Amino acid sequence: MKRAYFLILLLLSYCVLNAEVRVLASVSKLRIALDEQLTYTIRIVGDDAFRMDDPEAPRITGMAFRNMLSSSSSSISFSGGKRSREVTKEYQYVFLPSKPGVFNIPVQSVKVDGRLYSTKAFKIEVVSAQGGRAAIPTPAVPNNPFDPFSWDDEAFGGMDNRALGDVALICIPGSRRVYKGEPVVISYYLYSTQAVGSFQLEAEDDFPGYGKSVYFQPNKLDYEKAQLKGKPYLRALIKQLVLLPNATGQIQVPQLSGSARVYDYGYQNRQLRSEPSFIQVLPLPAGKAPASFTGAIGNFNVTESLTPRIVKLGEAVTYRLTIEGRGNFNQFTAPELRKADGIQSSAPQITDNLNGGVDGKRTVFYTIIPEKEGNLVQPELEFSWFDSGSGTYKTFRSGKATITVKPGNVLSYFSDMLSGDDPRELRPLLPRQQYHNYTQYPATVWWWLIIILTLVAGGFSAFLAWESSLRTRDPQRYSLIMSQRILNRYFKEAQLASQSLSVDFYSLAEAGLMKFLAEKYKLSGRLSNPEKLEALANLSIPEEDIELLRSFIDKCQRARFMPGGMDASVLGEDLGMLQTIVRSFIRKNRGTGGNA
Amino acid sequence: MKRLFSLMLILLPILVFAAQKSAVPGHQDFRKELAELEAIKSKGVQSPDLYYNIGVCQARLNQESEAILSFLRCLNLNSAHKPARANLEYLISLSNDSQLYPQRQFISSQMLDLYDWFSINRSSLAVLILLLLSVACMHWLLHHHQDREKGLPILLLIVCGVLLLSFNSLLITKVYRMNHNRKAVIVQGSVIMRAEQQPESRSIRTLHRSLIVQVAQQEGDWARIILPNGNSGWVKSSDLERVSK
Repeated sequence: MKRAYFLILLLLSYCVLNAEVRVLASVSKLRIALDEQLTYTIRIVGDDAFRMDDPEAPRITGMAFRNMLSSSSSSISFSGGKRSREVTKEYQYVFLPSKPGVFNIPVQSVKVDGRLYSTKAFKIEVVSAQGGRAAIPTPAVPNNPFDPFSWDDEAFGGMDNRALGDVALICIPGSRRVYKGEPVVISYYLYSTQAVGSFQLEAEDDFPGYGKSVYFQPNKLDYEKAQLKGKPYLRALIKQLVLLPNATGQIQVPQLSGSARVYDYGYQNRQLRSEPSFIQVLPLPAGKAPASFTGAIGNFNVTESLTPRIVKLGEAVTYRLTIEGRGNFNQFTAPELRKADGIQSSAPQITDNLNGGVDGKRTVFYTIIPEKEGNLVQPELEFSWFDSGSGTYKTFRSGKATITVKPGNVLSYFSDMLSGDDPRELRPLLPRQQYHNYTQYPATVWWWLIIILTLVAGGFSAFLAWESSLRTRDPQRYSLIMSQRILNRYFKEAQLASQSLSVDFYSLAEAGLMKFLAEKYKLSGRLSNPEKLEALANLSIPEEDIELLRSFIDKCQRARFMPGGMDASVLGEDLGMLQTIVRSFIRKNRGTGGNA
Repeated sequence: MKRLFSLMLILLPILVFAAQKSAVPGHQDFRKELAELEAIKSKGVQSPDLYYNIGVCQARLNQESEAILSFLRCLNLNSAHKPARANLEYLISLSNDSQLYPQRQFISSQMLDLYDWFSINRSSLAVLILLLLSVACMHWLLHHHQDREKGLPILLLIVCGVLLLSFNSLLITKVYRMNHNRKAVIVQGSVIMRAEQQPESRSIRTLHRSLIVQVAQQEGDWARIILPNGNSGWVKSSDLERVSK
């Protein structure tokens, strides 16, 4: 067992020792012009993953190191049933020549997996720029041959990089002494003497005594030259905040922190935090504020304009108030124009062109419409603010410009037509002595009554149309319906008359019965009752029914016309007789389908 | 006699002009007039002319948001009230948020004008007339001789029927909208419209006094409003005054 372990260990160490690593170096050109750049590449190729630190940039006399890029890749291939892997790491160093001549790129040592590898040296010839191309300016201070970051850029001219070599986040308040409510811009800069790849803002710590908003947030590091404690730096703006102090005394401004990716013989992250910074907040002078002061504090410049000064009646004049400067514009409530005789003025209309709400320009427009002709004085306006520069309250009062209003002419009417229906003035009061509740028609009775009557009329018309159509389409059914209707009406009345023992029973019974039969058997209305009975007898109606009908009609005649012919005691009996006759004829109707 | 007539003709315009001049009340008069009108309103009188005159007085006294509310109430009762519509448009054009109101195309503005012209009462009368015409056409069609051509009565009946249905729908819509008016006016100087119904939620924009909005939802002290440009957000209900109380 021990032998087996020993064997495995031997094999492993053989494999490790056999893992081949190659370190190669190359340059983009061996001869370059003064305005060209040189790329020096170190490539490390291995069969398996390897551990190594980023190699240092070579120190080349007469050339300035500009930038370093690194990349890595791996590939696996199968050849002849054998698997092989290749891992490559590449470092590219960019240099800019600073003067003509021949320069050496020395041998570079690269440590891979604990073993030291060396690259070959190169000799580079730098010639002057050709074809009118500008040569790179010579630095004011000779480059330090031992510092790979000895920038030749003018921005770094005269900078002793070795002495600085640092990165810091610095907070700069726009003012150290402000009044309560006066906005102050706090700027945060990244000061650096090194190449900073990026900066990541991570936290923003707040303290009591202010409200804040973002004034400016750049999206890239834009460097500019700056001095800090007498030393030159490059600085980039990270963020600008606006603080609105709401307490007096000393207040601490927000602290920012983040990480910068700096190059220091290889990229690394540096945690940065701005130093604590304070501003002194002063109270406003007590008891001196004018009545028209609304809380605006800052440095403002106010101008006004009134155009046109000569108008025709009905035309509008625009009064423009422009407030420029820096301060808390949000406290600058647009003042109202005072009421003036013969002038109607609108509410203010505000147009802002402000940066972060604290500096820029605010324009307030007023539309003034003269209501009468003549020379009118513009409406007055007044407002105040606290001038932080002088520490005093200032008040603006509008001028007393005169507007000349001429009578309207024919052209004024045309201009109205062209301008459409846009209202230019307020319509006047309506002369009303009394105000009554406004009646909505759907809430009135008459409206619904008309609706119902119209619908009923429509329904009745439809019914009539249906009857008319039935008379044409099916005359027999129509006559049956009509006779039935007549019978119903007279029979009902006859019944009522019999119940009240009235002699009217016989007249109603006779008339109803004969009309019913005339309608049913299509007999002429001009025929007398005996003639109708005669006509019925000629139809295919049983003799006994005719006889019964005849006897009932005779009875009716007697009761109606013979003195003492009516006997109230037999009224019930006669009603029964009438019912029998009607039933027999209705039954006949059902049986024969109404055919006469 | 001719001279007398000429003199009268000359004097007449002067007198009319003088009468108009004297009819325009002063600042104090508007205050007095407004107090009288408010007293009538407090008795429960619902009259478009009353709301209109209240609105005019309020506008003259620089109470724009109240004036806009009064004109909206006038138009809620009678959408065809032309002076109220004109004054409302005038005050809107002067308001701080006038750019939020949509600029309508000619055709759509004409259609909206037509919609407003048909107030509830005009729509009611139109419904009555069209119902009568429809019934008359139906009567004509039903009692038309069978052998005659029926094209014309059928066409007229269809036209009247379609118009009747349209005006009926219009009337129902108008009555519903009058009784459920969702319009409201911002009555505070400047109001922050927020994304949620919480004071600390993200602010969308600042609204100014006199802006007309639609109340889409009411939750506790907060109301979700829709601006004339279609954007929506939450504001405190106390910052609004609704047209229909």
